[in-house]
Formats: sequence, C-alpha cells, structure tokens
Amino acid sequence: LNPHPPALADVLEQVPLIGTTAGDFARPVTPVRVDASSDAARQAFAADRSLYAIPVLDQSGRPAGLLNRFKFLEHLSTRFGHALSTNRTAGHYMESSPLVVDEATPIDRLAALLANDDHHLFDGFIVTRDGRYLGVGTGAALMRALDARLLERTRSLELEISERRRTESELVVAKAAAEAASIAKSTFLANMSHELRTPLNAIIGYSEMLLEDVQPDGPASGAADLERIVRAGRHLLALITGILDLSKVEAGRMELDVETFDLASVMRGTIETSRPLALARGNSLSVEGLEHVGNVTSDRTKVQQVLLNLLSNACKFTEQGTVTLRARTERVSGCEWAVIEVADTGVGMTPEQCGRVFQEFIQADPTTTRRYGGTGLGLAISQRLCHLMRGTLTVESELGRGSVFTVRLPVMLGEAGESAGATDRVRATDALPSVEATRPAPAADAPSRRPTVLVVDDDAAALDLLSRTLEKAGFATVTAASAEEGLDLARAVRPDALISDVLLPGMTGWNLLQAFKAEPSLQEIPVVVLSVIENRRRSLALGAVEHLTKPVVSDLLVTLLKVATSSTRGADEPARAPSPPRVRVAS
Amino acid sequence: MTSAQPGARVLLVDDNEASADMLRRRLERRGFVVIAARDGRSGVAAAEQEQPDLVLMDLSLPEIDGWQATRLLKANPATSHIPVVALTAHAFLTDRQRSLEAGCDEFETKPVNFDALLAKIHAILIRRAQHV
Repeated sequence: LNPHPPALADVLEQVPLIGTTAGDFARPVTPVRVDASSDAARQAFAADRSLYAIPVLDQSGRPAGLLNRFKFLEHLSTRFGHALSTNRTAGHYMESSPLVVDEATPIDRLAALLANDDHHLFDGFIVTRDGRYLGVGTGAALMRALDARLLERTRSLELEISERRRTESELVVAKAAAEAASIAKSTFLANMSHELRTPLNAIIGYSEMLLEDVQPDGPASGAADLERIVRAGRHLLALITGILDLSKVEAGRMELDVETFDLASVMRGTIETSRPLALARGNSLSVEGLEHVGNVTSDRTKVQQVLLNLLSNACKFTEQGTVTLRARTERVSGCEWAVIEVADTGVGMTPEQCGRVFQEFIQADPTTTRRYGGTGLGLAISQRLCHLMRGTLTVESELGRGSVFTVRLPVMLGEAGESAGATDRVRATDALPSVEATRPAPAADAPSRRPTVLVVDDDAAALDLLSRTLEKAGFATVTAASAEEGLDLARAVRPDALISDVLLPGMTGWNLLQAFKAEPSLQEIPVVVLSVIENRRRSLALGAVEHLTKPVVSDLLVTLLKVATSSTRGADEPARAPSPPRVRVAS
Repeated sequence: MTSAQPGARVLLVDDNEASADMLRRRLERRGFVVIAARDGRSGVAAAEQEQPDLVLMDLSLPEIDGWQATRLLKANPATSHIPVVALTAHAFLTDRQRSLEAGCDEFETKPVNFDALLAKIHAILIRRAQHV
C-alpha cells in the first residue's frame, strides 16, 4: 500500500512521448540545389506519393527554400507549366522563407511557429543541425504526434486516476481493518479483565470469609497465611488493572489519581509484600532513609506498583544476597524530588542489557524467562508509569555485582504544571464516586490514631446529636457552625472525614465541599453531605462520597463513615472491630 | 461492622458457582436472607415472585444478560421499585455507564470489596425504608 500516489508530472515523465522535438520529424529527403532544374523535383514527387516537401539548398548547402508538393504541382498544372518546369530552376518555384528550425526545438514551440501568421500548418518545415540541413517535416506528422502525445497523456491520467481510486479504496479497507483491530483489542482487554477478575473474586472472597472464622492470635490458626492469600489476591488485582492501564497509556487515555500520602508508609508496605519473595531466595530485605521522606503528592497506587515491580525484580535476580530500598530527597531547579533506589547484589547486567531492559517483553537475556519466569512487562510498565508521574526510572548495573534501579518523582506532582487533583479525581471516579476511590491517605501515625470527623451544621441541636452519635460509634468529632469556620478547622485539624449540612449561613455546604476538593491538603478527605434538600446528584458530582437526606439514620451514617475512613492499608488487612477511640470535641 | 436489618431479603443473580456460593454465605452471615438465581430469565421471574428487598445482579448471564434483565425489572410495575445493584467483573468505566443506563441503581465490581458492598446495601435499604 502506497499512501503517496505519484504526482502527475512524475507519471508523464515516465511515459515515452512520440516526437518531443523537431528532430523527431526530420525526414531525410534528398535536397535539390537552388539552381538545379526543377524537373528533378517533379520526378521525385511523381516517384513518391508520400513526399510532401523537398528542401532547396544554396551553394553553401544552407537551406534556401522549400518546394511544397501541392504548390509545385499547381504551377505545373498551369498552361505550359509542365514544359516550363524543365527550363526553370528549383529556386524559381520554391517558397523562399520556409520555417527552419533546429532539431532540438521542442514540439510545442514548433507547433506554435507553424500556426503563426507567416506559416501555414500544412506547409512543411526544414530541420537543421548546427545550421546545416538535416531533413524535412510536415504539419500532418506533427499533428499525428501531438495527437498521440495527447492520447498518452489521457491514458496516463486515467492510469493515475485509477491508481488513486485503488489507493483510496485500499486506504478505506486499511482504515476499516485498523478500526476493527482496535475494537478487537479493546474487546480482548475487556474480556481478559473480566475473565481474570471472576476467579479472583472467589479467591479473595473465600479467603476473607475463612479469615473471619479463624482466631487471629491462635498459634496454628493459619490467619497469617490467609492474610497472605488476600494480600496476594489484591496485588494480583492491582496488576491486572496495571496491565490494562499500560494499554491505556499507549492509547493516551491513562488517568492519574493524585493524592497526598506518606511515602515512607507506602515503602514499608511494599517491603512487607515483597518479604516472602525475598525469603524464598534467601535474600535479606532492608530499607534505609525513610526518615528523609515525608508526604508526597502523586498517584499512590502507581508509586506502589512501581516499587513492588522493582522489589520483585530485584528479589528474582538475587540469591543469598541483599535487596535494599533506599529513599532520599533532592532539590533540583527549584523542584523537590523524591529519589527511591532499589539496589540488589544479584546477577547484574552488561551495559548492553541495561539498554534493553525497559523495552516491553524483553528481559536481560533470552534464557531469563526460562530461568526466572515473569512476563517481561514489569519494568516497561514501571518506566511508563514514572514518566506519567513526571518522573524517571533509570538503571545502573554491573555484571555479577548487582543492579540499582532509581526512581525520581516530583514531591508535588501539581507543581509540574499538571492539572492534578480535583478534576482528575472526578474524571477517574465517574459520576458516582465509590467509597473505595475516595479513601483518605493514612496519617503517618495511623495505627494509634482514631478517625476524626468534622461536623458542620448551623443547627446546634442537630450538631450535638450527630457528634454524640458518632462518638458513641467510635469516632472523635470536631464541630463548626458555618462553612467558613469548618474550613479553618479542617486546615488545622485535618479530619478523616467531613459531614456537612448544605444550607448554612454564608458559604453553603456545597461551597465547602468544593473548597475541600480544590485544596491539595483537604481534597482526599471523604465528604458526606447531609441535607433536607434532595440533590444527591449535585453532591456526588462535586465529589461527595454520599448524600444523605435528613433526618439521618445513624446506622447508615456510621457504616458509611467507617468504610470511608478505613485507610487503604486497613483494607489490605482483615476487618477487625475498632477499639474505642479517644473523643475530641471542640466547642 | 453493623449487621443487616433482620431478615432483609436479597436476590442474588449470578451464574458463577463459586462467586454465588461465596456471596450467599457471606451475606447470610450478616443476617440477610439470600434467594439465588443462576440466569437472567429466572432472576427476573424470582424477583417478581419473591419480591426481594434488593437485587444483586451479575451482568454476564446465560438466557438473558444482566443488562436486559435489569431493563425488564425496571419496566415491570411489579418489580420496578426493587433496587438493583450491578455486581460484575466488567470493571471498565463504560461498563459502569452501561449498567446505570440499563437501570441499575448502583454498581460494584468483582472482586468484591465486601465492606463497601455492605455499606452500599445498607444505604439503599435504609433510604428505601425512609421513603416507604
């Protein structure tokens, strides 16, 4: 398939044209001298009926004139004409100013000269080479040549048109094929996702159910093993999502879910997840420099996925060695970067292997797949995810000594000019944000802290009732009577959830919700809207977790808040009854 | 974790044996009465006969699929009031839109986040109780 059909000029260039210059029409007719008897010309015309013109040359052999067949015979047909011809010279009868052209004269120019006032199309013409006679041509021959040439042009145009039509129809077919392939790919991905999620549902569901039965502290209860199954199942689910994401990155449709989270706790989590794999090969896992990193605003799940990929990669290619996860921060050109290294003492790579290692489906060595397993996708996904988060992933390695993979991510993704935050979140979670998608980042001291709920309502009685209900259910509460006050309080306290009435003096509850979603430090806090107004759609569109109509049923509210305030880490662990929290009520 | 309103009846339409069994047992543990159907057609019939408080609807189903079954439920005055929660391994954003367009009231993906599912069920049942 040639997407660029040849230009018309190129096509004409390739068509052999008949008679492109005057030389092509030169017929080598024997000339006569200007002083020769014209009878010789008469005999020549009589002998060759196709002869239309005889050149007449001067003493030095230069063209002097032309005897045209019809004009000459006209003279002969006059009274005594025939008899006179023997006594008169050729010069007597000749046309004395015929058209004389050099053999190189182009056919178009020749046609124009023949058609002008001095000459007639049916007159012949003399062709010369370097001023000397070469032959004679006729208008009729020129006409035939022009005709043939026109025919050739028409034919080549037809050829080009049909070529273009063919190309066009091929393009239509190719476009349809590409679209079909794209649909087939999407369908395949959707089906694959469905087929993988279905058995995973049973794996995670049954193991969670078994976990509810076992005594968590019993010595041989298997609780820890079940937890590993649940964790591995969830990890697998994350990977499936990740692979689908990779194809979304390629299609340019990947969305970032930006939130502020504690990088150290994510790193600790990935170390825990990777521990069984490290132990399986006799590796020791260590983590360094956690104290150097704090909160990071980026895509938590993707950071987690990159680190898990790198750790699992390091563990895979190291035996009886050490895998170290190291963190630090750097300030480069005014932007703060989190730098995370995954270093191993494993097999290492040659510089050439290092160059290939981030390509899809390529591992350092073709025998790698046989020996170490894996899909060869992990590092490719990781690097793309890092790029997506405005960061980098690089590698340094020495054969036989080990490898160091280095992730560099901007500490504040928003600073990189990215439209992070509220808009991405609304897009990522669709019109109905799920509880799951709006979970808050756990605070650094999460294990010892009780969830704090900020309640905003201008009705003092309602405020009191709500905070007492929540305290009884195990939450700490802080209260505010207006949205403005609530916003100030939220900035100071950083609550785990916000419950707000809609109708408030000044700023409405919806304004408050918008203010939360617009502020990086507050946007991750789940918001429940309470109102006598039925406008659930608006609340959800603005990013609320739920919209409840007053009077509120406390059972529902408590359930909602418990789900909403359980951190992602908490969800990775079996559900346990919350221990009684410390109550903090601000008056 | 709070328990269900005693005896709330849930119709679970799911053709995947493991998924259906696991969900039925987990819901029963939380005090729900679970009615099971294995395909879209019998799901629609069961909804009409049994009048459950809520339907959990898988989407890829034999006979008629979950989208079509939901449309039938919502078009029938005898069942249109019953809330339908799509519960599916079709996890793409377009799947969610498609199921909401078919008339599903909520959408949850498989593998199920059971606590989130329970919260959703509670929210629906309580909201419904308020309106009745």
